[in-house]
Amino acid sequence: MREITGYERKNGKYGVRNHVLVMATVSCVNGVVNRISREVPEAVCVPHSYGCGRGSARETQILFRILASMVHHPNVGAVVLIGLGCERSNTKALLPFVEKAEKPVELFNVQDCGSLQTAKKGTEAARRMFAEISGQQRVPLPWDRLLVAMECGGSDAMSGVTANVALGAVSDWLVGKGSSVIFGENTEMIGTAHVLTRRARNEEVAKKIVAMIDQAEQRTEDIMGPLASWVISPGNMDGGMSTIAEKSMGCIHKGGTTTINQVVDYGEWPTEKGLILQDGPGYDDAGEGNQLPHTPELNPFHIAAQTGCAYGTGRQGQSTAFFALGAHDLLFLQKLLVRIIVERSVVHELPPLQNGKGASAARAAQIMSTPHSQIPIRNLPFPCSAFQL
Amino acid sequence: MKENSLVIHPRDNVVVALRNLAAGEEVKAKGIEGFAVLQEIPASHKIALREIPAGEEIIKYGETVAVSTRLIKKGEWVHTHNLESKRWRK
Repeated sequence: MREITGYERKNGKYGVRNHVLVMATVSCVNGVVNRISREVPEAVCVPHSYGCGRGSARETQILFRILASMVHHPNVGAVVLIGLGCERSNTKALLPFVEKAEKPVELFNVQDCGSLQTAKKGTEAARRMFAEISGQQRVPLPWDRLLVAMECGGSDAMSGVTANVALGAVSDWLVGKGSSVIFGENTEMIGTAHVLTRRARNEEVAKKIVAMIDQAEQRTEDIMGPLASWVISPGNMDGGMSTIAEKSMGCIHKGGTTTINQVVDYGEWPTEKGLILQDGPGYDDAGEGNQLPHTPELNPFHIAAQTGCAYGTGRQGQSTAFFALGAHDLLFLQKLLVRIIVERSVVHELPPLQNGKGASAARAAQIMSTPHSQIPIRNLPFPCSAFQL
Repeated sequence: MKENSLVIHPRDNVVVALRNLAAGEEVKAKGIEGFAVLQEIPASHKIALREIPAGEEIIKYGETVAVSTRLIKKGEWVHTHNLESKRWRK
């Protein structure tokens, strides 16, 4: 079997890429980050819509966890952090978390020297860092240090028998090699607690699975009220799925069939190996934001993974599952995946999507006709746990 | 036999169309006797494998995925017009 290679980090983790990350601490400085992105297109530039105005302890915890995890990410060799100055996640507050990263990190604040100067300094720093890390060599990456995240999107009724099953086979194969696999999307686990708990390593893990799925169900009900049963997307319904339970039964296949060793919180790093379940929503951008800081490389940020992310989408059963893996070394995994899809796939030639006889139009009509007063004010039952990274 | 449908699990009471099926077309899938669909079925959608009385669970992947809201005849299209989510009933 061909070996894989990566960059060994000081903390013992391995990255499959060696990126320079340019990240905003708050949305207000996205313009500066975008400008650096134009000047240094080879850098991974991450503007985002967070950093301030979200008050609860829980939200702050997640914000700091994700921003710090991006800096710690094994695929990142060096970091330029662009801050504003007055934001909640300001560079001073983040410093204690990012200085432990044991890699070059430079911080700039717009309120110190203005947007143009900050962009100029950030650009120079990013170029300097490329020079600094370019000498790092790839070394063999032990399989037990590989961490891959599985994500599915654009589901239809075929996802659960094609793409997700193929991803599951890859999950099983990786776990068999000693690697770790993370899967999540708790919204799409509603209705499967009895299936997943059978695979829990012990009672504690089983309890966490149940609690996670119960909370996802409750949250969906709190947010959507009388429309909760319409939680799946219009395209899902056009594609033949009728309920969240049906979607979930297909969704969980991407985790394969091995024992679930740990349940981790949104943005939390796993401490166990093997198959890991991560709490986090099913909406893909939020789900990726959750998994990405520790594992995957994915489209919104183009940061490659501590491994990579397998992205399985089963639109119309065409098994468009693909690996957005970081390195050429991992291309053979992609080939493996394709082979599994071809071998296991039951359908290769489905016709183009038919609009499922107006199911989604009916859904839209129902949503539009629901009186506003029946839709509850959004009230998330977030536990306000103590701030802890 | 060229299959045009799929029974995912032996416990299932629905079968999944692998391509668009015209009304009256025969369902052909591994492990079941052929039968005619009563209406046009879009690809990937579900067809009742047997008569499903109102209020009965719809089984797919061997697990409950929904509950029927009215009698569904064998060969009928099974979707949001004749089932509902077991949780959050309308």
